[in-house]
Order: sequence, then structure tokens, then C-alpha cells
Amino acid sequence: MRALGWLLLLVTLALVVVLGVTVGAVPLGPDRVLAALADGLAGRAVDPIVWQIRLPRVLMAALVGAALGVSGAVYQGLFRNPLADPYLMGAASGAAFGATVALTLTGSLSSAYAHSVAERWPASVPLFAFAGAVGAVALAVVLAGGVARRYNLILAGVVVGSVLIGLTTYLMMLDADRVRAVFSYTLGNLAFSGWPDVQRLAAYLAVALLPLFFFGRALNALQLGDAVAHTLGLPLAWIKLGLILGATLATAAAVAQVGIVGFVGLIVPHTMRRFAGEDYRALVPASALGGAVLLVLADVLARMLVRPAELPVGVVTTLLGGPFFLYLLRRQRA
Amino acid sequence: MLEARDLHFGYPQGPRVLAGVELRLEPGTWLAVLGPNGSGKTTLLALLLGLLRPSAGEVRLDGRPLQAWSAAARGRRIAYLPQNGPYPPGLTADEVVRLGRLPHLGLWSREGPDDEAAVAWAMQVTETVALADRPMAALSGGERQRVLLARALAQRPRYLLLDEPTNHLDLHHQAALLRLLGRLAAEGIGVASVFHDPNHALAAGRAVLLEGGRVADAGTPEQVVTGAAFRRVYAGDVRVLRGEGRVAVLPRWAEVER
Repeated sequence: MRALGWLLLLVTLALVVVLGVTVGAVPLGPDRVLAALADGLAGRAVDPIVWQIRLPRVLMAALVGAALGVSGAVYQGLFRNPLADPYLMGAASGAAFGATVALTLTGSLSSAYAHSVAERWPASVPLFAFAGAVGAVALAVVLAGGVARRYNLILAGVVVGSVLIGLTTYLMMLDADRVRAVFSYTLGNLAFSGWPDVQRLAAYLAVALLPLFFFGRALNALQLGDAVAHTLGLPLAWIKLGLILGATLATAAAVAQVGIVGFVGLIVPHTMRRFAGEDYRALVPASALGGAVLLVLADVLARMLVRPAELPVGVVTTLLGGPFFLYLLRRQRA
Repeated sequence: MLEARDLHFGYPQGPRVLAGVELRLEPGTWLAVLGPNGSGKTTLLALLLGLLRPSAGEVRLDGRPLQAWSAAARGRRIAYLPQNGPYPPGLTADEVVRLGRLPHLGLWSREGPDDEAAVAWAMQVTETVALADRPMAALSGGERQRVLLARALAQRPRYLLLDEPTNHLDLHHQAALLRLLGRLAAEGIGVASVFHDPNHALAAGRAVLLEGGRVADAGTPEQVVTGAAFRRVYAGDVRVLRGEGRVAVLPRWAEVER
């Protein structure tokens, strides 16, 4: 992709971030938003709506979108399969299971104790969801007998995912009161994101996501097949393990914070292929920017469509993502 | 020298695929590997590349066991062109050929003059310079095969292993590829190529015939295709023609026998 393309992507991202901050129960003009952002960056006292409520939410959307976009691109490259997405190896069902366990655990405790635990909900749900997502993928890798065979990995991921969905459903049946909470988690929600969440996710992504940007050449070589990649001197097992680890940690950190946002990890790398081409050295960073743009926009729609209420952002990405994906496929065939 | 010493291979619960194969590939020579389907040709290549570990025996590369070499050092010495391997449809021919520099560059170094020179040479000898900017998906089967061969050559290997490289090529490109392999051997590369068609093996300097995982015969290609082992392996299915000082092998079918 040319310099102009990158510039365009960055400008688009900046524009949608400003748009994301202007939209809400109290509409704010772009001038006021920009002034508040300038104040905030200069360390002056700022508009609390902009700085404390909207900006962290928008940045959260951007970070989660970037994490899912990059993980999707990495999985598609790793599995040489355009239908792969970050949830392929069980991360989503693992996160949902973890969150459900956290929610039911607190629900089944005596009311006095539950109350004290409930105060810590925001902490325990993401923690359990993160552990669930990472645990599910780790289990899939173990069941597949390592990372050598792609199809074993996909099959093991599907099996682990299905079993966890079954367990999650069972837990939900046992504790009907929690069904709503679990549902709201599995649909993805950015409404409760504050600065601490943004900082936490940014720290996770710095460790898990940034290294993936440097594996473009390895991902390109993997497209020639494992045998050739081996003869090109790549330590395949380590590279595959590293790619799965990075993508899984990034995905797990993102979904643990905001719930399971669907379709972003599938459609973003696809869409960016049309602009950035198939060179993973460009496709991975492009998917980060594209994912950020897409999720910020989806969150804007989630807040606007049924005002004054809000849609879970996962509903928007799925409702818009599905048809958009079909449109892309049709255009590709034409 | 790339060398197979008393090589055995079998899958844990499966049949034996190779039993006691001896093979030597010197730089600057061309060895053709012949044998019917299932005789162990591809498995032999996989063992020579380190893709599989032998159950017994060993592969030695330039005097040291293959496993003693680092992955990158091995990649600077041995290159491989698989049969019907996958390729990235959206990358251009030039980008694919550049991937051949990976064993020299590692994952992160920038390309230098050596890399540019190797890529230019590889694309020139494979006549793919004109295809450089075209995406792989837009190439014909023959063009794509030549680009993938250029990718292997960009490794600047001392040994080049090819699995059925003439598959899917028309007669014109088959001839061009056989001439190119001869030229590469003359330039000092040790070429080992698996062929289905014994006529293609006649272009090589030496040939081995595999049968049931064993070396049934070895020698010059002419000796091998006119030998008793070749007749036994292919029983009544081939007819070896001689004339004008050359040998040709045809599949035998009823009409020939009128």
C-alpha cells in the first residue's frame, strides 16, 4: 500500500474518533470536541463528558477493533484460510464460559457475601473471561497434539468451542436470573469503558499485539505451505506458537473487557486485502487501523440507532457485517 | 554432498515406506529419482529436507548430520520445489521470489545488494523477469511453476530438490525446464528431481529407481531405464524404444502390440 493509502487510513481513524466523541445523549459540536481534546492533551481542566465518558469509550472501541482486526489477519494467514477469525480456536466460547462462571459464582453465593463480591464484578468478569479464552485455546492446542497440523488445530478448536457453549448454556439454565447479564456480555458492550480499562487493554495489546506486526514476512512465507516455509529456514513450531499466543492474548484481552464482538476479525482483514494487498507486512498494520475505524463507527451506530437506548455493539457489527461480507464476496466473484 | 545413509522410514502403525536407501548427491550433478506411485520418492525428498525424521539411518549434509545444522543454515544450502504446493494468490511474482531470501535475511533484516542480485539472477534464468509485477493468481500454471522455481533458486542453494517439476507443464515448458536443470547442475548446483516420466529422467546425469522403498537400480538414466529392474518394476506396461543413439520410454497399450 502506498503512503497515501496509509495517510488516508490514519485521517479516517482520526475523523471517526472525533465523530465518536460528538455523538451521544448530549450532542457536542466538533469544535467543542476538538477544544476539549486540546485542553486534555495540554493537561488543562476539560469537559468531563468528552474526557471522562466519551473519549475512553471511543478509544476502547478503537483498541478492541485493532486487536480483533490484527488477530483475524494473523489467523487467516496462519491457517491459510480466508474464513478464519480470531474466535476459530475457541477464544470466544472460552471467554463466554469464563464470564458465565464469574456471573453464576457471584449469583449463587449467600446474599450478603454476593453483595460484597458484586462490588468486584467489573474485576472478576474480565478476569474469568480472559482465563476462559486463553484456557480454551491452550486446550485446543494440546488436543491437536501441538501446532504442526492446521486441520487438527481447527477441529480441536471447534470441539472445545462446542463443549464450552454447551457448558455455558447449562450454567445459564441453572441460574436463569443471570441469563440477561450473560447475554449482554456475549453481545459485546462498550458502554462501561473507563480510563482504567483503556489503560489495561493498551498495556495488554502492547505486549501481545505489537510483536505480531513484525511477523509479516513469516506469514508471507507460510502462504507457500509448511514444507517450503520449513526449507526457508523458519522455526515453524515456534513461529506458529508465537502467532497463536499473540493473537489469542490480544483477542482474550479485548473480549474480556467488552464482551464478544462478532465479525470484526473476519471482515476487517478481508476488506483491507482490497486496499493493502496480500502482503502481510502491510495487511497486519492495515487490519489494525481498519478494525479500529470499523468498531468506532459500529459503536456510533450502536448509540444512535435506538436513541435514547443503546444497542450492544456486537449486534451492530453482526447485522452490518454479515450483509457487507456477502457484498464483498459477490464483488470478488464478479 | 547431500547423502542418505541406510535410510529407513515408516509410520508408527503403518507400513514401511523406505528400507535401507543409500543415495549421494554431489554439487554440480543431476540425479533423477524414478519409481512407481507409492515407491517412496516423495518420502525420500521429505527426509533429505528434514521434513521427516528417519526411523533409522541418517541424512548428512556437507559432512554433518542434517539435524546438526540450524534451520537457516540448512535453508541457505538446500532449496525445495514441491509438487502442487500452495502459493499466495495476491502476492506478485517478484514478492514471492524475494521470499527465497528468507534463510539469508531472517525475519527482520532489510534486503541488501546480495539479495537483489540473487533475485535478479533467479528470475533471469527462469525467464520470469517479465512477470515480476503480476499477481500469482493471474499467471498460467507454467508461469507460476517457473516463479516458484525462481523462489527456490533465490535461496542460492547448493542443492535443489524438486518433486515432479514437469507436472502440468506443456511440452515447450517441459523442455525448457529440463534444459534449465541441466544448466543449473553445470553451474555447480546438486539437483535431485523426482520424475514420473522416465523420458525426463534421461536428461539427468544419474538416476535411481525406487521400488517398494528400496533402491532397485542406480546408474546412468539409460542404464536404469533399459535395465532388468526397470522392466520388472513396470512389468508389461512400458515399451523401451531405441534408435538414433537414444532411448525413449512409452506406455504400452493394446494397439502397439498388433
